[in-house]
Amino acid sequence: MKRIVIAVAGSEGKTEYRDVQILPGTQARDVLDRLGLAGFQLARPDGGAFGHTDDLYEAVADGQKIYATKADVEAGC
Amino acid sequence: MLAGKKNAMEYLIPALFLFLLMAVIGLLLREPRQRTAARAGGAVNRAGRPAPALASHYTPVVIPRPVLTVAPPPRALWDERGWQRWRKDGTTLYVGEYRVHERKSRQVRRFPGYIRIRGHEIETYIASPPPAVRHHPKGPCFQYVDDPWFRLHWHRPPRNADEAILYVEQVLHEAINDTGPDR
Repeated sequence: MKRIVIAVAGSEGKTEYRDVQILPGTQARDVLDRLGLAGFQLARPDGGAFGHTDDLYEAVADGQKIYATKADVEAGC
Repeated sequence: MLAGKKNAMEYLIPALFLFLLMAVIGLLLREPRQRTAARAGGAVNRAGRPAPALASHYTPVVIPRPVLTVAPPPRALWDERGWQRWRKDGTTLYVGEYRVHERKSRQVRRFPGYIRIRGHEIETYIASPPPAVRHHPKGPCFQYVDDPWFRLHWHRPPRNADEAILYVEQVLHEAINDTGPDR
């Protein structure tokens, strides 16, 4: 089991879910669903974003802070 | 016959008396040593001598030390990443660096940037983006403004600086590490 912190980007630190415990096999979508963060994605600590079905447990360290950001942001030209 | 038996009894009774006396004296001499050893907390052997101690007879005392716990306060992403914020005349300016972990070199690459927010408009700038961005599907969205600055144009703009930073870092990550859904 790992403990992580999920912070919502843009909330100025006001929305943070501390002590989120995840078990092996937990996917990014499992955490987002549980926290009611529909339309968000989780940012990878080393850059990029987690796909909804990516294994979150394998990719994060115990105690790490992960940011949830709106998935609809997109550049255009 | 009777006289012989009487003679034997005369010797036996004092002998028994002497034996009992010796036994009592022996017991009295032994007991104090046992009591002394027991008071000291040690075990004694049959001879009344302290047995080899398995542990010290001094009870260890452990005093709990006060633990200082420092927990990070909730911070915005821009603050966590070391960006600076200034506010003036209804404009908020964020200045910092986009950070991307390059898998090949295992190093963190940094690109200076700033974000200017006026009302609902968010302008996002990056200095000297890596050449790999040219090959990214969103590469053309980085438009040259003034050396070394490029401005990223939005189709669906972010609502705040945190979302802008994360999006730019995501594009840079996909470009530098040649990953991403569109590659």
